[in-house]
Amino acid sequence: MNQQKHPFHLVDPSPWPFLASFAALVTTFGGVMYMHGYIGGDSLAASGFLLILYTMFVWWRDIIREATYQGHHTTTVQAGLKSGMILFIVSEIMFFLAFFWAFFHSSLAPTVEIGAVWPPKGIDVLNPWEIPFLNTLILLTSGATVTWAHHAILAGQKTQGIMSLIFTVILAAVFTGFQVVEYVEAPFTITDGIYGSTFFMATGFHGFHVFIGTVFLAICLLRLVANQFSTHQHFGFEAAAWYWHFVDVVWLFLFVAIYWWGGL
Amino acid sequence: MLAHATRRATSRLARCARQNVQRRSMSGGASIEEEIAEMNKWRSVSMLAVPACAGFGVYTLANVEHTHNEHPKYSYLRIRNREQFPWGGDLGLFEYPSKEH
Repeated sequence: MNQQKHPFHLVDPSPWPFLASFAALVTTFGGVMYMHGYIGGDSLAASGFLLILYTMFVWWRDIIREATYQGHHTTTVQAGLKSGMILFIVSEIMFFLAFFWAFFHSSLAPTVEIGAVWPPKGIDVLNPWEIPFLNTLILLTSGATVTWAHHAILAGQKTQGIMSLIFTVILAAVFTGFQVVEYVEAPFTITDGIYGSTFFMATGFHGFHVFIGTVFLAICLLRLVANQFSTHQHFGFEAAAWYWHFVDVVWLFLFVAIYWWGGL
Repeated sequence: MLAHATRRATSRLARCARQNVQRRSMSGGASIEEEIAEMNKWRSVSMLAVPACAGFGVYTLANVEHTHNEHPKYSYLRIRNREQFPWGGDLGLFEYPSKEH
């Protein structure tokens, strides 16, 4: 009988990384074709996107199989996963830093072309104390419900874990719904100069990250129901909760800088 | 003397494998009772915050007023660098034909 005399996980050969790369290639080709009006661009982009979704499904399914059912995720492996998730979130912070830089670059010293004021002349800003403030409360509350869920999992309380995670996902979905309403109702669009560009790039990418975080939490909910978490091993949930808190903190910065200060 | 002999007899790899593995590596050292207490604390916070959000939401949506200000057509607003969007037409992704209230 072969014994693994080390605590690491040497992964079996897998086709998924190559499939991910191919799916990304198809999506980018399709995307460029669509943007430039080439026939078939929309179909190719859609096919590539579906292929990305399929790759995510099969790759992460394999990881769940290796971890939950085959026991490959030792403490050492988990330590590596923790470092990986932390570094990934740090890279996402860098990503948002760029959009905040762009916003402050344009808003701290507004050019004469836009009236040397911020917000630029002709822009009616959204009232931060209406839906944006409501959304702030919603995300902060979801931070509380996800913490409730974590302690429920740690305490082995599956029912409360499920209840609190459902609350979290619902709050996340409500946030997204309100943002869509704001996007449709806003008196300005992304084409309205530098204000529109910085506003929609920053809040838009944030919204996309909210969507990713919501899906991550929903998957954790399904896994919790399926008994894939134990009181002492549930790193998938921890990673989702970390990501969710990161999304919340980015929103707080967006609210203060773009919605509140940016509208003064 | 004995410790030195033991170290020589045991391989480095075997010593690594006998590391002290924490059973509840995610718990931060808390007992089940402490976890239940923390769980109940955050449940109480949530039971306050969720209705507060719902209440504030109802208040906000009831008091939303849309005042449409008229603005001069500045050149840096409503920028169009090509004839139409990839989906055709002049309206943005979240833009709908304006209905005058």
